[in-house]
Amino acid sequence: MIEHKIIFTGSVGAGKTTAIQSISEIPPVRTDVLSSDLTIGKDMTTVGLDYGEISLGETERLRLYGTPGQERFAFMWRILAQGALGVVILVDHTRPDPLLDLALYLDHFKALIRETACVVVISKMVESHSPLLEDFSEFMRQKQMVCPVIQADVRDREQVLWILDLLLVQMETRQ
Amino acid sequence: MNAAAARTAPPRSSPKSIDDDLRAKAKSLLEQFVNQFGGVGVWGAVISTVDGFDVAMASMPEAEGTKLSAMASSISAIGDMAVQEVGTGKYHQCITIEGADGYIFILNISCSAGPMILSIAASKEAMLGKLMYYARQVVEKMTKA
Ligand SMILES: Nc1nc2c(ncn2[C@@H]2O[C@H](COP(=O)(O)OP(=O)(O)OP(=O)(O)O)[C@@H](O)[C@H]2O)c(=O)[nH]1
Ligand SMILES: [Mg+2]
Repeated sequence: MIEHKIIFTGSVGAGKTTAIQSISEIPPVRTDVLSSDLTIGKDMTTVGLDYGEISLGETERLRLYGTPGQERFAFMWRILAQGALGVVILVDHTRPDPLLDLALYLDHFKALIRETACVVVISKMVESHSPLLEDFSEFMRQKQMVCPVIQADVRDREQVLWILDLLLVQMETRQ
Repeated sequence: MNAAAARTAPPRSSPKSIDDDLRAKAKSLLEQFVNQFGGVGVWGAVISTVDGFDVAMASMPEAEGTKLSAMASSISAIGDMAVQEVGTGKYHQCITIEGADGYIFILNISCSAGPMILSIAASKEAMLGKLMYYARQVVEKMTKA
């Protein structure tokens, strides 16, 4: 069995825990606790990690790790990034400054993004609101980071599988 | 709309449910706790919300208490998971991390104002039996707070 480690990171509430929940074949390991921060707009938040698994055919398996979103847990980002072969950055479009959010994760994970595979996923996208999808792409170009930028609803298993496909294609071409 | 201007600074400490009275109570319990050791063995202690915001600290630089709060939150949540996966309970009662020069103890507090965590930094000189006895008293008093 060949195993690859993939991490899901990105802004608070963007859906990292949800994405892993949507596709994991095992009951995901979750470390969500009661949030005392009203500004994040939900009751529970990840403080440790999420963990799930999905197999690809008979010979390959992805180990899926979700990070906490909040920056005070950045030490967990460093721990979880170790040995990863791909990173999914989720950006919640409804937060006050999604481009600034994206910049934070691009910066923290830049080594991983340069050396491995990356997909940027805009979640909860309100298409009539800026920034538009092409603004995110342009932002990536300015940072000279090349990877797909898409919008998706991570509550939908099919869409999360599509994200993984985009990641796997890059992993194969880089090998 | 200028999105950058609308963005509020992330809260430094938890805004919800933890009123000043509770913070003051936590602070005084921690100070009593630390004083019991007369500067020998116990370096400092911090009480935090379960999502890693400091509520009160004693004998600890603010920056260190803030950082320890976030780390204790992660470690505590992972400890709870481990306890559940292995079937040794629902929540951990204490996690011990032993370094070359000292210890960190992390204890769960099921406070009615919301679950919290007590973290204690101690040196190798600490009398562990006494430390645990008083630490559990802090937990108990906070639980009733
Ligand atoms: N309306 C709407 N809700 C969504 C969409 N995608 C995800 N959600 C919801 O947004 C929430 C995301 O929460 P989590 O999965 O906990 O987010 P997270 O990224 O793990 O957050 P932290 O761990 O706190 O950083 C869930 O309640 C999802 O059901 C979407 O496209 N539209
Ligand atoms: Mg989460």
